[in-house]
Amino acid sequence: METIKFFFNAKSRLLSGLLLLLLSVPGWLYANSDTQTLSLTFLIEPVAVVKISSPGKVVRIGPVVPGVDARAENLQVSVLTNTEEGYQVFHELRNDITSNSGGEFPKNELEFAVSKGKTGGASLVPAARPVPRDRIPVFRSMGGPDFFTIQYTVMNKKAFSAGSYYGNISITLENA
Amino acid sequence: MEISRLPLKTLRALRARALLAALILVCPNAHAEDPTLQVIVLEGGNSLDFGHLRSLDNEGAPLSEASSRRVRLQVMNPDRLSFVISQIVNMEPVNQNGTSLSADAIRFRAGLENGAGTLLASQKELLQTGLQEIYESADNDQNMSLVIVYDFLVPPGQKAGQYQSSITYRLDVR
Repeated sequence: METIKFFFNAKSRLLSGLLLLLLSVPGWLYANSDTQTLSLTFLIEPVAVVKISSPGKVVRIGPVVPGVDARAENLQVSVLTNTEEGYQVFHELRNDITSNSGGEFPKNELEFAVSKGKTGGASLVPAARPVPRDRIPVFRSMGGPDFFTIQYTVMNKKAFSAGSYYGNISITLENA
Repeated sequence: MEISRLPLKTLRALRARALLAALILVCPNAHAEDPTLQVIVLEGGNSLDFGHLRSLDNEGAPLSEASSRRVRLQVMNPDRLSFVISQIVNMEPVNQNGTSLSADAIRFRAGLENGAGTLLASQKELLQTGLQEIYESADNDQNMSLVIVYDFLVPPGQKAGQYQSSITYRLDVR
């Protein structure tokens, strides 16, 4: 019974005390701030560009001497991007390599290899292999700008007619 | 019957205290009307939207575009209470990948349109995370308005994406 009396007593005093406190606090001591919130937003547009450079915009190989491998200067590939998404760079030989007189260059005689990226991208053609006609991925990045090179080599194992040979290479970038 | 006597005591005490509180309530401060704050984006809308911006051009070269937005803060203060206005940047702007914007990309300055108080951000300042006081009222400020100009210069090569943050404007009576 003592416990009940005490509890009742304390509760009553607590309530009356709180009421007094609430009623007697002057207006300038409470409810005295006002807030409003604005969201702040903007969009940075994504850009992803692949650029290639080699002297004269031509991958020049040769002159080819019978029995000796002929290497081209490195084709430099830059990926300029502000995105954080992964991407792949594709390589495609758009037409057969032919000479002025229409002579076809032997298949599998032209090989290529791709370096790894300067900022972490991976080569998908780390060792030399014949350049296929198909469009194939040759480089993969988890995101961000990168730089790598492609090395072309004429293996010169098979005989082919003398002359100047030409082909078109396409380098494209796609989000992974 | 101590129990029955205690509530009676309490009731009496309450009655006396309520009377006292009523007396306090009739004093002028108790009826003072709090100042109110209104926030208006002058370019329209309900957000501080800097729009679509570029950090690289179409050739992939670094680019720095600029964008400005203005916010007007208006205070109605019929009882001329002293107050301070602050802005609180709740977090640094980040995109969907969590990439943040460098701290010096957005700067702001406030200009007073109406009011006798003191501007605390009249020079260009960095928009930093946390609380920054903007204006302190004079003793007799009744109505006040100021405009905050936010200048955003995109860092060249800034990562793409939709960036979000928020700014809270707060008026505190002092």
